[in-house]
Amino acid sequence: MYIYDQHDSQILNERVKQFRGQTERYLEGNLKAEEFLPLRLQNGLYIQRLAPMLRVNVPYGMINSAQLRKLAHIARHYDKGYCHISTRQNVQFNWPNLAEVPDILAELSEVNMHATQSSGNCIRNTTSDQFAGIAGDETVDPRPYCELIRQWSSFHPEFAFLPRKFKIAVTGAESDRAAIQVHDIGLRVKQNAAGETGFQVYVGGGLGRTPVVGQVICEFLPEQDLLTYLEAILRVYNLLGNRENKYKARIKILVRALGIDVFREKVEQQWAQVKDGPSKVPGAEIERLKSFFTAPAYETLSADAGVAEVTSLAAENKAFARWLERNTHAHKIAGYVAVSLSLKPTGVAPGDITDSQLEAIADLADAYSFGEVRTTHEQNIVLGDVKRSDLPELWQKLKDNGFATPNIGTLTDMICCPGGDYCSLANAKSIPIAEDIQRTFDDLDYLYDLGPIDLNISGCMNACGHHHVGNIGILGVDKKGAEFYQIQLGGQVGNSTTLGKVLGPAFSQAEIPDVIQKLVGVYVNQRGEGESFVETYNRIGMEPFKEQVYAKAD
Amino acid sequence: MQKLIKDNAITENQWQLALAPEEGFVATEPTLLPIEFVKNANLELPNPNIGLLIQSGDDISEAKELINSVDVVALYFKNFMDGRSFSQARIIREQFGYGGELRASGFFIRDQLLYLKRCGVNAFDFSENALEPEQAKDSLDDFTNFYQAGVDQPQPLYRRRLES
Repeated sequence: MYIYDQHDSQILNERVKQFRGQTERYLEGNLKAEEFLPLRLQNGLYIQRLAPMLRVNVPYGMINSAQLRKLAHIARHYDKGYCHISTRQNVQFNWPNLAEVPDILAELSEVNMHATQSSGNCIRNTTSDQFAGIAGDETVDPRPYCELIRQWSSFHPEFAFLPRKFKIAVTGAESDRAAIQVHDIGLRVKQNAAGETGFQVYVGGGLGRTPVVGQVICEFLPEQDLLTYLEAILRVYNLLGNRENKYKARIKILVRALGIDVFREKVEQQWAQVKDGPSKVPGAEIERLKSFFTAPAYETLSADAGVAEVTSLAAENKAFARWLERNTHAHKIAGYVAVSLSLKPTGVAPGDITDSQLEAIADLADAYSFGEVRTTHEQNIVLGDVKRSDLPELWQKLKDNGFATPNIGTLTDMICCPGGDYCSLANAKSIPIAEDIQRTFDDLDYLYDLGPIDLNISGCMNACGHHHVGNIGILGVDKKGAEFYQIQLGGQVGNSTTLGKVLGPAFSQAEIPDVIQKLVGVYVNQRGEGESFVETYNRIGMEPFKEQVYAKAD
Repeated sequence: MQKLIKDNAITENQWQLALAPEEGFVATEPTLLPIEFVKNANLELPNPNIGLLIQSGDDISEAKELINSVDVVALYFKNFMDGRSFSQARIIREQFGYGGELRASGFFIRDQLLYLKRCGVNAFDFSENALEPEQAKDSLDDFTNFYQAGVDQPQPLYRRRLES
């Protein structure tokens, strides 16, 4: 993991002091609310329906046990004892007191954490693959580049007042788990035939009101040119992005209006001016950053280490077998696996986690996974480096702490925004919908038989719950003051990113569990051997689903 | 006279703003005129009474020569949330090599001073906003170290780190 030096600490301490001053000026009445707004947003502070919400960055999802304990402390002392993992791998506190936020930021800085640019019209936290550095299908570890981008974008003087927010995601694996095609900029680190490292660059993707799949602007950008190229894209966007209408202000709209070729031309014009200047990244800096992401002290184990113990327990214990199948993942090092901690047990808002659970994860990370964990964009937590032989013991402890719900990748592992219970933008609640669905699909055998299904719920068209790319997407809408839910089918994220299509007229909250059952029923009746929900949908199309759901009772 | 921060010191502002000069307007004292007006009026430059006023929406991509023929250029903020002036400032300094006074005018806020300075702005005109220059000036020291290159520090931290 990246470790701060005196420069990083100095910059962060200056930021904490700056925000303390800004908050004081606001509370004393010396800074207008509309002027404080962008300043507090650039420190992750929203004014929500009931209280402020503070979003703390987890850069590219990497977090260590000391940081987890600090988050637990903040949840306990400044909040109501819990927090929330967001779809961009960050942590959100829902009930802090505005006057105490500078103290929270000071506490976070003690463990090298911050809320810098976690909101606002600026460059946000860079996200990545939760299996970065450990996945078997990875060509290049994306994390050193994520850290490079984090530093470059932090307090960037030119890009703090962009037309709209700006999100970057990076993957280094064959299978994209970072959703790079639905980000403002998506980067795939790869190697060319000559063995040089560089990036395939996507631009103009995004969800929200106008969902768009990103387009390739550059097939191979050499690694030393990364920051100058990003700077050129951001400059073109800053100068030409729409500033009249916030719903047309994201870069995706500009790219679409100009066309990718004209946009590329403009970027290359700007790039030519800065490409070989001092901002070109020296190889020594890339090496320095890579040195923070080296392999931990793995034991040398055989490929089948632990297999016997695990297999025998799985044979006699069905619950363990289910968990093993759904919640553990292959690791590139022999004898090791990655373990997903499900934050989606029935009855808890998806992604919510308590102070004592955070501490329990910190202890488990120290005991079983070199003291580090990862947050995922599906709102779960991953212990990245667990010895297979430790799984039976770890499983027991995960069960004791409520993390062993064996539903990773299934219908009940839903992505869900905070919705109308917290968010002032929402048209409808989303957490109760998630809970209704979880209660309906409580038969684990049935759930497994259904295989992988991504079900995503957003409480409004801003799409924080990524409903456009759910195999089943649920969108909260307002119909004459009442909350209704529109269903979309066929969305996918990853290498075959696809936007879902609307099924038909919206439903009330009470109708949703039945509708989901009917949709799943169509799949079960029509699926071919080994076919997933979305594969069946792609083969048979929308009609059979529509007929079943909207069929009039005779 | 209104106060101005220039090169980190408080001084008197000598220039007036003419946001919408009438056709045929003749500057008899130091005046910042819209870049389009100066271009269209074909005014002879340099002229000690003429500086340029650039709005955030002005396209400056072809204005290198014009900008380099005046001593004062003002980037005018109609609204502090419009961040185009930040990119304009960098282009004027880094691509046009402009060495004269580059000032921010209009409705910027105190907490933007340092970022503007990093983008190449070296003067701040407070005549149209309610800021106290003495207090606003403190914000120029909010940060003393930076990750990325700026006009004030062309070496990004990753180059300075390697040298130390």
